[in-house]
Amino acid sequence: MSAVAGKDATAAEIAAAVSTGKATAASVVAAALARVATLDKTCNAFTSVVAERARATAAAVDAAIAAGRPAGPLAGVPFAVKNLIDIQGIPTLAGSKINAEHAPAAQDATLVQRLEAAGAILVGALNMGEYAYDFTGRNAHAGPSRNPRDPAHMTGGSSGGSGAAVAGGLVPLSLGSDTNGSIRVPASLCGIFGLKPTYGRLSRAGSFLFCDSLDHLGPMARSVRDLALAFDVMQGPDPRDPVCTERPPAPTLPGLDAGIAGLRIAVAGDYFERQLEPVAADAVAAVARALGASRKVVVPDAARARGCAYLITAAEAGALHLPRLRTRADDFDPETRERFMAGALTPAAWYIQAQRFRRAYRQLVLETLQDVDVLIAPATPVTAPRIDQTMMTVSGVAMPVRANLGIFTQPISFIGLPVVAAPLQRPGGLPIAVQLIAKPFDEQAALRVAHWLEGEGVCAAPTA
Amino acid sequence: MSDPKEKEPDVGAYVDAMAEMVGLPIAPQYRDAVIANMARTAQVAALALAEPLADDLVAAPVFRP
Repeated sequence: MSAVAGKDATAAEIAAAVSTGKATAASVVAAALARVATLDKTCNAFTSVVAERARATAAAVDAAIAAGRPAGPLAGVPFAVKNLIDIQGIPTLAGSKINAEHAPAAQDATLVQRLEAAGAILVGALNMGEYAYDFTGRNAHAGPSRNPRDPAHMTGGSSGGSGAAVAGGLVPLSLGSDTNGSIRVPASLCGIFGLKPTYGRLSRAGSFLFCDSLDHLGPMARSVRDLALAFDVMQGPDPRDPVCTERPPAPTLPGLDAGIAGLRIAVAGDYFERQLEPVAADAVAAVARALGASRKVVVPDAARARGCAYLITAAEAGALHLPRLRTRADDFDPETRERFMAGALTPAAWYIQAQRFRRAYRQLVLETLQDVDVLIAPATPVTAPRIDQTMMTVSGVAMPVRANLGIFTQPISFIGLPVVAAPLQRPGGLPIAVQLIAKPFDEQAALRVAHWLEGEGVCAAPTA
Repeated sequence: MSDPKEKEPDVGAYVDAMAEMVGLPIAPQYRDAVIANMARTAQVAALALAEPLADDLVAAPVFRP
């Protein structure tokens, strides 16, 4: 078997081998499907496998290469998507039992179309917390996704399957969604790289949204180059998503190797230094030390921002699901049901004030970051809790796991800043990531720093 | 936001009335958890919305006619 058919191969390695005829897309996809068949018994990352479609797409990629046509920058790269993203021909579950009764999706989501247009090959749909209202990766209907680094521990969520499938080496690339941290939390707990782009940078058309005002889609992978490869081909306006920016694409791959020279990097202080375990603080310190980032910047009002993100999420998600809550309450996951119900009852004044504060907070943070290009912050306060764990102790205080895994991610996505979650592996322990936060539409700064850290061996995402 | 000196709001009564207003039947076995979540939301709102916002601060909608 060719090395690029193995579970450690990155998307870039696969694409290089397939496009030059050193391996076939068919062999790469067959190996990925075989891994899913065996390894997913442990990970429980997949809810659907589209094997027939994947083989057909691979055959088409191989035929194009044989005919001398351009194969695309992701030629032969198997990928899978969180099951709130439309796959033509199967219902879009969004982690629910109720949506299984929906009609099959009539077409692929925009991002699936764009990845396949670049030569990538969709192999399936991935497990997630119900309707994305989740930070744990647990799911009452499909069972929990399990962390490949230690299956007794949670993946984090809500893109739990997206984290597990990549960390476990089932596929080199997945798509997740992030409203309050649902890409960055599983990236941290599973020890992989994740990119939550700027709000509006990538189209969300053809995905089952959770909270329109805060929803983002983005890639997860085991190398920063793979994030950049996938991100670049997914950019571009899309009239099917009214939030999607009309800015032209800003490719990140060409400058990825530019290093950190000239970038002003600081560490997030105050809120981001409290309520975290030493392992999370150590990760931030290690990254800051490597980058020579001695400056501390206090992002004011982060707790207030987190609260407003919570209010917007509760109100929009509750309103979205109100028809189902009226008629199908018993079919919801017990871990989401009453939260959605309470959300549907949120006073409008609270929601509107939270939306207004969002704009003020954006201004405040942009002023704070005026002379900062990348801000380092913890991604999660802890490493992966056990799957059934409901309480955790952070800085000596007992708190619910679910509500608090996103304590550091929520204030950032609230104003849509781009973030790379960059993992640190800990010998003998579970991994944890830091957030590399950049200014709006400057994904490249965060990716450059993450790539440099990867090159220095500070951050890494080997297959579990 | 409610003045802390004021009487604590009756979250259960709010949930019952608002659920009726929006037409959301809440089965008895779910009611306590809905109230607990609503109480949590009220706590969050009390913290997050304590400071007044300027009258001319508007949200940033993306709706483009």
